[in-house]
Amino acid sequence: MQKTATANPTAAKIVQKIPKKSFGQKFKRDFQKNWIVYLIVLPVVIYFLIFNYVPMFGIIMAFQDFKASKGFFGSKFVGFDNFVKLFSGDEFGLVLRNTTMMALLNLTIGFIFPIIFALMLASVKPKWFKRTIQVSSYMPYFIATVVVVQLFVEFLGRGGAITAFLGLFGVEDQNLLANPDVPVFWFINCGIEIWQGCGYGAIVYCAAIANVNPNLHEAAAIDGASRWKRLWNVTLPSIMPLIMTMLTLRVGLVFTQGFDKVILLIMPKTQVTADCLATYINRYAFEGVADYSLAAAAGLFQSVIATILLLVSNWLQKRVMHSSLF
Amino acid sequence: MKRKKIIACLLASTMLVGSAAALAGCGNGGGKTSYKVWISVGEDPQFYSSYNDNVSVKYWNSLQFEGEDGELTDVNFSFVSAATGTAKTEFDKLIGTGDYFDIMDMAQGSYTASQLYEDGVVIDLTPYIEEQNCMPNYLKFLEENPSYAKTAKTYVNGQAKYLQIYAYNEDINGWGGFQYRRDWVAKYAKHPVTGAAFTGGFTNGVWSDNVMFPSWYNEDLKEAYLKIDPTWDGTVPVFISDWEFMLDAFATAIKAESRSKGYPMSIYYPGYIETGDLVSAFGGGGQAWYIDGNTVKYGGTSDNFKTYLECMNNWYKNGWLDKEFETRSTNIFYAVDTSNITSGNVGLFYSDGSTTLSKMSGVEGEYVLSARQPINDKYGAGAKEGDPKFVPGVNEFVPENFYQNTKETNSIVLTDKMEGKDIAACLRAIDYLYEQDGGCRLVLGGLTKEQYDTVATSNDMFARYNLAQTGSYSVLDTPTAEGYNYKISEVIGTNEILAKAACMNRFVGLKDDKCDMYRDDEYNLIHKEWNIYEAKGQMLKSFTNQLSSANSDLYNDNLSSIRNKSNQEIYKFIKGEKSLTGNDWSDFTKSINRFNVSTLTKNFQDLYDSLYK
Repeated sequence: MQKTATANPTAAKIVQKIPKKSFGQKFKRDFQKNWIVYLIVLPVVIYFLIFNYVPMFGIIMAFQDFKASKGFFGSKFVGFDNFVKLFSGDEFGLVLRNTTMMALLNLTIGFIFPIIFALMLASVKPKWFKRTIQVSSYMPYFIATVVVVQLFVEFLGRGGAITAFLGLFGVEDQNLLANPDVPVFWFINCGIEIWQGCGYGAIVYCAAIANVNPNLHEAAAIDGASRWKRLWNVTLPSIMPLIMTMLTLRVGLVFTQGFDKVILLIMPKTQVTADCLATYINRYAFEGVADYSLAAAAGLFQSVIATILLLVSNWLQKRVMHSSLF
Repeated sequence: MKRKKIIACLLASTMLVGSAAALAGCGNGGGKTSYKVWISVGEDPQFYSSYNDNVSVKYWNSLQFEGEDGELTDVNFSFVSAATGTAKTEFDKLIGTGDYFDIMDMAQGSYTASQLYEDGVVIDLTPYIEEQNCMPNYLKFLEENPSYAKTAKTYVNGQAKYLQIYAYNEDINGWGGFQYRRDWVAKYAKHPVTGAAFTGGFTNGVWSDNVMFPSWYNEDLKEAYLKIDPTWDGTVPVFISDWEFMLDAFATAIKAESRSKGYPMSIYYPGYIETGDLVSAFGGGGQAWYIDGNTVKYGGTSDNFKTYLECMNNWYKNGWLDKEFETRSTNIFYAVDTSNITSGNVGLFYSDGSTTLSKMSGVEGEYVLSARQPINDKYGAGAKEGDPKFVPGVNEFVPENFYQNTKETNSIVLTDKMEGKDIAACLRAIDYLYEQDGGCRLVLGGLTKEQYDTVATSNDMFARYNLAQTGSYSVLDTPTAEGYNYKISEVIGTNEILAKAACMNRFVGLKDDKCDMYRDDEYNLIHKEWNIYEAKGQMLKSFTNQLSSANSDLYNDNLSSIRNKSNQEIYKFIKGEKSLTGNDWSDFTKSINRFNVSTLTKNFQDLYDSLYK
C-alpha cells in the first residue's frame, strides 16, 4: 500500500488528505451502522464480564487471611503466607506428584487414543459399520460423570467385570478402586477418561481425515504405497497441524480438566495416589473446616501452571509447525 | 428492517425487565415487625415447597406480641432455607457478601457467634433478655438447667453476652444408635447357660422371643449393672461380651442363609465415629476432644481408643466386620451400605432409625431392635472379665460420648439487619416457642386437610376436635390434669418427616416431649434403648463457640489435618495392616500430636475452667 502510494503521487496525495480515524470514531460509526448486532452480542459480553472476569477478583483471597464475615475488603492481607503454607504442607508434595502423573497419562495415552481410533475408523470401508462404531463410541461422552463413575465402581469392584477379566491374568480379586498402590489409580483414572472421551475426541480427527485430498491417496496408491504406508505418509502428515493445535489446547487444560472423576472416586485409603490439586482444593474449600485462602492459593497455583503450560505449548507449536493458536 | 428493529427492541426490553425483576428479589426489606429468617435445612418438598407454607409458621405469625412500645403488635416471620448440601457455603456467602438476613441459623458455617459479633454482624441481646425481660421462658429453662446456662452466654473480651439463642430438648432423646437383627439372635444363638435353642417369632404382628444374653449370668456384671439400670432383665445386650455373643450368631446366620454379600456388622469408613459412639464403650472419645469429669481430653491417641482398636481388630479377624468398610467413604455415618442392610444381609449397624427399621421390622420374619451403647467388659488392661479390679458400672465405663443425646441442639443469632426493627417483639415471639403452650401448639400448629388425608385417611381428629380443615388452630385450650397430652401421632401416624415438618423442627424453641409428637410404640421401643445414657462428655457447640478467634482458628486448622491423617491411618490398625503393639501406634500418635493437640487441649481446659470452676 505504501509502495503504491509512493509510486503514484496522486494517490498518495489522496491518502494524505483522508484524516486517520481514531478507534472511538470507528467504533461509533460501526455502532451506528450495526447497533442491532451489538445489542445481540451484549448479553454474551455481560455474561463473560459477570461470570468470568468479575469473579477473578476473588484471587485476592489467596493473599489474605480471608474471613467471610469481613469480606474481601476487610480481611487481612498476609502476602504469600498462604503459598508458604501450601508448599510447606505435608500433603502438597503428594498432591503435586499425583496431579502431574495423572495429567501426564491423560496427555499421552489419553491424547493418542482418539487419534489412533480416528485413523482406524478411516480405514474401515463399510459405511454402516463405520457410522455405527462412531456413534456408539461417542455416546459415553454424554453420560453424566456420576453415572460413569458408578459404572466403574461396579466394573472395578470385587467380582466386577474388569476385575474378573484381570483375574484371568492372575490379578487377585479385589476392589481395584481401593488399591492404594502406584500406579493403579492413575491408570484407572486415565482408562475412564479414554472410555468416556475417546469417541467424542475422535470426531474432529475423523472430520480432518475426511478432508484429506483423495488425489494424494490415489497418487500414493499408484506409486505402490500400502494402506499402512498411505496412513503413515499421507493421512497422518495431513492432519498433523490439527493434532498439534489439539495438543496445545490439551496441554493448557491438562492441569485443570479431567479431575471431576477423582473427586467422586477418591477415598481416604487411596488418598496417597489419588489426592490431586482438584481434590485438595475441594477439601479445603468445601469439606469440614473451610480454609478459603489456602484453597484459593492452590487454585491460583493450578491456574498459573496451566497458563505457563499453554504458553510453552503454543511457543513450541510456533517453532515446530510454524503456526500457533495466538 | 423495521421488523428486525422491533424484534431487537423487544429482546432488549425483555432483558431489562428480567434483570430488574431479578434484582428486585434481592432486597431484605419489610416492616418493623417483619423478620426474615435463614435456616440451614428446609423440609421435605413433598409436604412444603417453602418453609413458609408450614402451617405452624402461619399459626405463629397469627399471634401478637408486646413490642418496644409496650403495645401488642403483629409479627411476621418469613423463612429462607438453604438448598440441600449447600448450607455451609451459603452461610459463608451470605455473611461474606453482607446479604445475610435478620435472623441466621448457626448450625452451619465457618464462623462462631463471637467472631461475627466482633465483626459487627451479630447483635448483643443481653439488654433485651436481662433488662427488658423479653425471654422469660428461655431464662426459666436455663435456670432449671444450670449446666446449659453456663454456655448459653458467649464470652467476648471477658464479658458474658447473650449472642445466640439455643434450641433445647426438654428431655434427652436419642437421635440415632445401633440396631440389630433380633430374629437372627433368636434363630441362630444358643442359650448361654443351657445351650438350648431360643424361640421367637411374630404372633398377630407382635414379636416375642425368649432370648437371654450371657452377661445376665455373670453375677458381678449383673449386680453392678442393675445399679445403673434396675429394669434390665438380661433380655437386651448391655456389654461387649453380649455383642460378641450376637456377632457370633450373625456370622452363623449369614453362613446358614448363604448370604454372599452379608457380614455381621458394618462400621463407618474411618473405623470410628468422630464423636465417640462405640469408642465410648471403652471409656473414651473418638478423634476429638471430650470432657471427662472436669478434665478436657483428646480421645484419638488415648489408651481407651487403642483398646477400642484392639477390640475392632479382633472382630475384624473373626470376620465380624464388613471386610471393605474403609472403601465406603461416600456413605454417611448413619447410612453405611444401606442397600445391603435393607436387604437383610447385615446383623448389626448404626442408623437414625427412620431409614431402616420401618423397612425391615415385621417383614417376612425379619425383626430389628435397637441396642444401647455397650460397655467394655473384655478388652484392655484392667477391664478383663473376671479381673477383681474390674468393677463394671463405675462412671468411666458408662458411655458418655456419642452423637447428640444432649438437650442442646441448634442456635440462631440476630444480625445488624435488625436495626430499626422491633427486636423486643421478635424476641418475645421467639420466647413463646419456649413456653409449654407455645411448644405444644406449634407441634400441632395444623396440617392441611390434604396433608392429613395422605397419612391418616380414617382418622376423625378434625371432626372430634371441631377443627378447621385448613389454617391454624389448637386442640386444647387448657392443660388436662396430666398436662398437655397432645397426640400428633394420631394425625400423622409414624410419618416422622411430616411430624417434624409440622412442628418447625428446624427452628429454635423448647421441644416439648409432653406433646408426644410422633411417638408411636415402635418409636418408643427404639428410643428406649438409645436414651439410656446421656452424652455428658460431648463438647457442645455452645462450649467450642466460646473459643477466642485466634484459638478457634488454631482449632479449625488442625482439626482438618487430624481428620485427614486419622482417616488414612486408623483403618489399618483395625485390618491388622499396622500393629497396635509395635512402633506403628507410637508413630501414629506422634503424627497426630504434631497437630498442636497439647496446645488445643490446654486451650479447651482453660476455657472449661473459666466457665465451670
